[in-house]
Amino acid sequence: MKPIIAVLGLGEAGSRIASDLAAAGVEVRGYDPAPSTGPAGGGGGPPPRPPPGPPAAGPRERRSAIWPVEDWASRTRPVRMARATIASSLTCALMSPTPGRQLQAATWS
Amino acid sequence: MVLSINSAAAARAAAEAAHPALGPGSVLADLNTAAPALKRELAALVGDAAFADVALLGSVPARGLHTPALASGGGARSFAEALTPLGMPVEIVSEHAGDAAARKLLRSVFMKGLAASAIESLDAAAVAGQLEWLESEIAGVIGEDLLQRLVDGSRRHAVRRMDEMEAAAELLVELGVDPKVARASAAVLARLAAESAEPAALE
Repeated sequence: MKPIIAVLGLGEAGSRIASDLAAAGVEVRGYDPAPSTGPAGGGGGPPPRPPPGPPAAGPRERRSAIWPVEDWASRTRPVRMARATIASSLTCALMSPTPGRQLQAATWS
Repeated sequence: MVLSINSAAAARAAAEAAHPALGPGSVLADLNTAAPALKRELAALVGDAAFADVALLGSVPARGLHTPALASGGGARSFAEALTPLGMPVEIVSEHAGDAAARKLLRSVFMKGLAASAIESLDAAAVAGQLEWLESEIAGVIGEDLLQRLVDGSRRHAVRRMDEMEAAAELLVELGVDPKVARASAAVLARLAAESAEPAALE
């Protein structure tokens, strides 16, 4: 059976390991943190904005703390995790190996 | 298997978030560089059997999944069994969370101390007009690649490594060793962090 590994935190190290796991055939479920905007939030990166994807409703409101991988592709600074939430019904899966630090493909299920 | 790859400051929040979602047999592997005491707290939070304290030894951006790792805690064996076949060299240290973190921090006292020594001496050499000479001398001892990684990595990851050296200093105090080098390294990294946070000078 294909192994499933969740990765909490897709900064410089997390994104690299998630990409390598996907390339090794692992089903990776990556969860991005909600970045903070203070000094601990990666040196003052762009302020957080609501994640794209299906509209939040009911239990899925928990996704407010989850950032889709694709949003990180545009970020150039490491962002520390402020908070991450796992919802078993909501996953962000890396669909293909991605080079370097960029995560280029992600889908919501 | 859930991997937490963030920072010591975020480790608890990640573990708290992951804990309710861990099913039977699932393991939370904390790969954050943190003090052994924090790793033990996380193990208590999610349960010893479901926790792996993992310490990565080396540069993840450079080596990715092949970065060597130390693992300890009740979930260390499960972590090793899952990640080793995928290419990560995992050494199981013990069944006690915090032991892997302690080993890494002991190593860091040396590695980050070496980096701080290189940076300070090169700063001084630059002022004295002897930069090229000293770079050549140091590279002759530790190699050009390592020197470059020590200097560049310290500047790029100054904040995270400063936290790491403060955790290392705490560990040394626990062990009854006066952490002079660890604290000095943290001070050098704090300076680098402050410099990188300063706005660029107006031209």
